[in-house]
Amino acid sequence: MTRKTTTTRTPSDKDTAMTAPIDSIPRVSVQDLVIALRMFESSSDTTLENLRLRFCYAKNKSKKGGNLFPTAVIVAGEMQKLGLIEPVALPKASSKTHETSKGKVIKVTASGQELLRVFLADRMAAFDKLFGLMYTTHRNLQTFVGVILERNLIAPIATSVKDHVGASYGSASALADAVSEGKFNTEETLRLLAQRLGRALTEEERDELNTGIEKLVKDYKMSAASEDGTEFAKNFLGKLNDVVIPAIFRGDGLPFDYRTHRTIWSLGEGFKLWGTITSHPDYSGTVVYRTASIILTPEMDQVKALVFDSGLKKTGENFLGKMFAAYQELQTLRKSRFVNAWELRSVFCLDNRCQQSVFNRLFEEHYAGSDSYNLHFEIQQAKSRHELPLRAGQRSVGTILMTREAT
Amino acid sequence: MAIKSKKSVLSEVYGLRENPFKSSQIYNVDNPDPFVPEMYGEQYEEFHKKFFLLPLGKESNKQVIGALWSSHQGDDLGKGFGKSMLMAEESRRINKDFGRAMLELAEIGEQDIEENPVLSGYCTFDKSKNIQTFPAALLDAVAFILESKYGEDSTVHAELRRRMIEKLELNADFAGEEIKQALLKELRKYRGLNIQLTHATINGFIDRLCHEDTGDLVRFIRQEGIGPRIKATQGFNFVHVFSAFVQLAGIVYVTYFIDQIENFASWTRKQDQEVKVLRESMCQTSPTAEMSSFIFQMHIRAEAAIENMWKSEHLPSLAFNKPMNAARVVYLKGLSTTEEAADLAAAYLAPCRKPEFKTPTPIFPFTDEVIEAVWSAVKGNPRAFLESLFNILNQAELQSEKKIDLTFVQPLLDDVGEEVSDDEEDDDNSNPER
Repeated sequence: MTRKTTTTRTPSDKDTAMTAPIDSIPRVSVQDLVIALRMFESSSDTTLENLRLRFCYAKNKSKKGGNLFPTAVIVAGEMQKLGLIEPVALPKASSKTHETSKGKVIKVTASGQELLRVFLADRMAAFDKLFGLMYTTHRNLQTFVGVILERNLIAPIATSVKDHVGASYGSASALADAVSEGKFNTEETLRLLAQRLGRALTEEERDELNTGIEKLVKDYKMSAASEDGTEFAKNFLGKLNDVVIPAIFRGDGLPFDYRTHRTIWSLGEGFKLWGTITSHPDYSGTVVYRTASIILTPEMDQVKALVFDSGLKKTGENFLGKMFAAYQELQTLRKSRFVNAWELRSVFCLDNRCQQSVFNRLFEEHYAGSDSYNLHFEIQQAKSRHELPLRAGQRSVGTILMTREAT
Repeated sequence: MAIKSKKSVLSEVYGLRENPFKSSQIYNVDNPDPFVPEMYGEQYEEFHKKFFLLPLGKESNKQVIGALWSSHQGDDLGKGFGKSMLMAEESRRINKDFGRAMLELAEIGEQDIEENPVLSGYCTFDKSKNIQTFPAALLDAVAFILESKYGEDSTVHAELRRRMIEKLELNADFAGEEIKQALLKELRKYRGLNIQLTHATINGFIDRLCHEDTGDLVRFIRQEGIGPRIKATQGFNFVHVFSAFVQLAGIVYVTYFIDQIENFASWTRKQDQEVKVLRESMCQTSPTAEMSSFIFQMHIRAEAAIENMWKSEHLPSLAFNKPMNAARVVYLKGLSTTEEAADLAAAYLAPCRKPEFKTPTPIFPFTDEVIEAVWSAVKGNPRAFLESLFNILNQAELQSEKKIDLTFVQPLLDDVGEEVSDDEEDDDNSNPER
């Protein structure tokens, strides 16, 4: 049985990968699992084809051919692992197996039905229960939770050739030229990386990164000469992250590949347990931070309770006061009365350990200000690169000026 | 009596007496399908707000000249979004209690509700009924109002008379004549009105309006009394008489919904002149001007048909895409959520259920997934949605299909076409905010 999953294996360090805990986190969202579970509301069984079509509708994707069949198979596989559907031989997660395996029947188990019952009665409890199941099943998730409970993670994801790969690569084509001519400056990339992390790289990190980048440059030499510069730069950045992220987090005991990290981050957001921000002025990269307390059993192999201590209610208490504190912090740093809306959101969310969705919701409620605080906006002129816009009524806000009434 | 097969899955498996949907879901004012306000989502409240509540908030002139639009995004032509049904059926609901339920829903105080009774009329341009001009159409809306039900067993006409007798403290034994005298007195107050009160047809109309036989009054308006030529040339005068009559009964506001305006553009000769008469004789002449609103059903073709004549008469723009018009225009977007689609399907299914049959959900034999699939395939168009359900049930009956699931439905929907986007649907499968 082969499934399309992320694994702990990294291309740059096979030896370490061999000794890392073998586990896989499925590339699915929490919502996918819930959608699949709800397929059993009207019947105790369904087919992979039904599941595929359901995903197509839920994601507004084409229903043609075997589109999203791999997702259906992966989700079914994960549900099997979690004990929510009965064990059955699943096909390979590929659209090629769609025609022969679309009629494959999957049946809900008693615990699947129980989770569904909880979902229909208390949606929050069902999500918490689902997280508990996933935590118990996936050792990688357990390792990650162990770390995120202790500290924030700073992921120096490369998104800009000039800022994150090398200042000399002013354009995508300059990078392509350097790679094709074998003149890639690894030292410069490592220097920028250390600068972004705010610390020197360890010897082990330098070794792994040097080896990984050397191999990457070698592998990409041919395509650098033939591919379109922009397309090449995009692919190269993706692959560079595959080398950098595992190397940086290996010391934290998180030797997963980049995709597994991303999957875990988005799972946390789905479960409202940890969040990610990308526009905090103090960090050049993605910050992953805890937004709830996860209480584990003494053996640390099961979740005892989840406490959402920085949820909507708690964060909503004196929301504008907290927002003003974040505004002042950002204003001091940027030396401007109008501050960027996404940066303000990032600072607020990290300071208050809340989800961005919590901030968005509260902002929608309070954007008119109060007797004590006034808010002035400028409409968003440019799109943010990695963030959803901040909405105030029908407007997307670009910058914010906040004032406090004298008491 | 329709034939019944013992092998019918519709009856035996799905517990339905018949297919509740139709192959062509076009609104019929005389035999309407179930009216499901929930299917209009937020626009239902907007409809009340813009066409009733905002005007009622004004003291002197309550007039709104507005439009009810529907989506024409993509290849939609703005058809099948339930505009006609909303205008006519909501008018009936409002007339049933003079707007009380609507005002209560908007949390208006009891005294304000008592003091602000409203009426609502619906008319459509219909060549077969000789309704080809604005005066004829509005006069038909007057008949619609008068014969509308009030309460459970009365009519608006009867209730207006009752209120008038009570308010003016008239002698019930001679009510008809006393109401007539009061009405004539009232009409003489309006110097701008050019009505010859002694004209036989006008007099006949006033007589019937003031007396209690509603059937006779409606027949007089529609078939026997007011001929097509008088309707076309003098129709506005009858509307003014009606306005004065309802005002005497304490009514403060009347909304006229005018459907199929593109037919006016297709059939009427001298359209410019007609629109001019609408503006001068209706929108600017008392008593109708201050207490009446005129809401036109619009879609892209209708707008194109009337645009020039509308502009040349300086009537307010009815365009949906001008922000300044937002307070006068309601834009129906169709079924915007699967819940609205499910509510609509359930409302059609319920009256066709076999009484002894127990259904697991109100939308049975459909499932949530199937409703969502159909809703998504028709891009939320209510008419196309109901017609698709009709076809699916028919197909299931033909194939004796006992289970309607996505794999059964998808091949039927393939020809409907699909719109694919990167936006993930925001539905109720997400983790709620804590």
